[in-house]
Amino acid sequence: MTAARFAAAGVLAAAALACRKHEPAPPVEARACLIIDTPPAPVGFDAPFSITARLTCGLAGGSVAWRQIEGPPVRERAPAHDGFSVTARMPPLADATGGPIPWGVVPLSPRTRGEIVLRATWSDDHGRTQTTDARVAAADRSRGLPNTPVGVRVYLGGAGWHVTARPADSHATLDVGDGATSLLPDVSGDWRLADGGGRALALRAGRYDETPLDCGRAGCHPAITDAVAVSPMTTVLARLMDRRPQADYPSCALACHATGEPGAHDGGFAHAVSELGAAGDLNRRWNELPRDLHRLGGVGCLACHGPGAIPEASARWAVLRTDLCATCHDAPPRYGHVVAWSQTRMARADRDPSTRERALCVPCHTTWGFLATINRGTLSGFPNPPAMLRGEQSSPAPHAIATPERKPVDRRPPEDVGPVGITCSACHAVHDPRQPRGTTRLLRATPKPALLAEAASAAEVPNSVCLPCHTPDPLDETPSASTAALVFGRGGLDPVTGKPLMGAAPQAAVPGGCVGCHRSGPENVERGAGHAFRAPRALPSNDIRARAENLWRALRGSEYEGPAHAGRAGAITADRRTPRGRAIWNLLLVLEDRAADAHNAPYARALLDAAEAVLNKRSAR
Amino acid sequence: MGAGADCANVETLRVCWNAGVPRVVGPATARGPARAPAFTCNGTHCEQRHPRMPDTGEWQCSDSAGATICRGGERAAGVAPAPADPAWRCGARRGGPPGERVCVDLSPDFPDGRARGWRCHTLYEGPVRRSCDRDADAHTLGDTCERARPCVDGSRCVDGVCVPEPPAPACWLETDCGGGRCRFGSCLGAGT
Repeated sequence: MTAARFAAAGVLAAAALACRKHEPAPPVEARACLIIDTPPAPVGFDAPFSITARLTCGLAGGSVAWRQIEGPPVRERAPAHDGFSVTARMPPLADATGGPIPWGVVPLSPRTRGEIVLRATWSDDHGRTQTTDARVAAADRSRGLPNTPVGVRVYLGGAGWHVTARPADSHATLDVGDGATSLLPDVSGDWRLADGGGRALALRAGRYDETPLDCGRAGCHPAITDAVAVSPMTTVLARLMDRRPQADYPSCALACHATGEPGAHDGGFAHAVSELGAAGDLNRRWNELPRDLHRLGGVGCLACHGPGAIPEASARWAVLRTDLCATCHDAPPRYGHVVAWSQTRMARADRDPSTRERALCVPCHTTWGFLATINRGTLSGFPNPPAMLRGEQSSPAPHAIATPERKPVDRRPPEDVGPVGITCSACHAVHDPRQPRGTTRLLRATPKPALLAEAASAAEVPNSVCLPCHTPDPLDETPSASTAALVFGRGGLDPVTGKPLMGAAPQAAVPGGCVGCHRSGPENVERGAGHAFRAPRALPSNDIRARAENLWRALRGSEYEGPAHAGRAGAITADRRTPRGRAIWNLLLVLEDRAADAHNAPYARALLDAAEAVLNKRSAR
Repeated sequence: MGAGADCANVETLRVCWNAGVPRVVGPATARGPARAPAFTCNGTHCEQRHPRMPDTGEWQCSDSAGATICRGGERAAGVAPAPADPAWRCGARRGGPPGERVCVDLSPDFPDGRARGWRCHTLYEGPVRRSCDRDADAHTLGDTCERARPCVDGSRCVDGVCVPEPPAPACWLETDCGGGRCRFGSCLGAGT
């Protein structure tokens, strides 16, 4: 590639993440006469960089003031030459990520890659002003997967890294000079690295345009390939190129509507555009692009799974991390999906190590457990995931994810990874072969839980993916996570007769299902705030929770420390063969839903009425 | 050319076959909306990144006397629908794996736009690229011809220019043709 072409790629790099609104610039002269020259490539963490400003349009003199308006604070900022140049130092990796650095390949999103924006404002004694923003990043984005593009620097969490094997023609070395160990793969091939403790990491580097797109081969993923052919992710560039929603489309969106990292020599879309010269002109319709741009345009397989080769089996768990989707959906203030999600309990669902180990917990407290359960359930009788994982139902590999066209693969993270949470891929199935026409917002389609079998409206819940983990399992000894049971007025038992105790379901008609109410989140993001899943406002407090806890206290002689399904309320059984057991079951249905009053107050009261009729009588006795 | 004529660009010419008989009808027509990727040259060696292929699928290509022949065609996963390049003629490969196709481009890209004087092939080591070297002795489609200067095998001299037999892509190897010859991706009879 010539220097001129690389410069073109640099222009694309600067623009590719810029289809978003910024803090509005103050009114200035109509013409952009303040030109900013930024570093063409990421500058590294804890590394110095410089930006220069120059005037055109016949302007001269004056001075430039700089103000940081986005990103983690830069350090040592020092303007010079009346502000026409400024130097500063990028934040260290730990400051940029804002949290602990995981071992191995460090995932980096637009938010965590140390991307900063400095606003330059020029003014002179005549009252004239010009304002331009300068965007600089410490690093390219990273999915956190061990198969990684050539030409994109990989940052490593851990210490004492050294290379034990490398491709024969590689001259790349580990760099420990910018606050973190990193490697810039220079050729395609396999690296073997080891940390100071001898723990090995296999890196596979490749170019996007060298990687075959033969995932749909017979015996591999033909059905998934069918499913993604019409996926909105696959077709996003094709659709929008012909529509041109913005004047600078697609250049402004290449980082997330095409494969590869703009500005990098990775064989990605932007790189191919620069190599193609005039043939890569993007001011055309989709059908008029050359073949390789068709292959690299859109969010295809490699955009998420990375180039080169499939990672070693032991490393494939990382594909379930939110970090993968974060490479595009963690770019506040425009894309706040990950920021919002990180505020949820789901993001911390497996914080307690026992939830990652206990068979009863993993189906709903871990993403890998959830996927293993629902995928296996299609073969052997969902729903009863806990029983299945306890071994009470046939399940030869309880932790393995097995889609209809894949062999079971264990996606459980290594123990030292820590919490991963219920991530994007639990709720969103971007290539579900059982949903060849896709689903709304690519939501995963899940079977209707058994407890809701008689609740007709449950089948039409738009986001039924919530139901499996928010509906009690009828085979469990005590009910867990009873929200959906309350919402649909199902699950209770008449203590005397043992017949189902059913109620009306006023909230089941809320448009949008669960997220019809649970759709609020941080206010400072344009999109994705709903992924905080907060209900917009608390309903007026009523007596239901207090009444249920009083009944518990009377029953047990102690405060309810719940949740009971996690064993935090002490050992308790609800033997549904007896009136007392059925009453306890009803009580626990209410206690397991902290918002029972909001979800279905009449039904919750009916459950408590039925429970009290038995339990209070016994207490009085 | 009348209705039913079968026409294609051959090097820089437009050739039609009527009842199997070729005839040069004029200069090559415009190829299609996708522009030719540029060649980068160093002396007598030129390379073209992102060379043309029949469609977005997986292809293995080689050159033969000024034509490019590809086999494969496995669909590309995760790629939005895009039209096939109309300049390629394709057919099922005889005796090949199920679904395998053979495609031929009789007017592929050359550094100076002419086939004559170049020997090209497709490189798969590293980024896929079309590599062309100057070779004054190379004989190609589109060569001028006469009795003392015959055409390459699989083509015939028509109006003083070498043009191929009617293309019916079906072979990659000689053995695909069951005793016939595989020339420019088409099976030709022993005496053709």
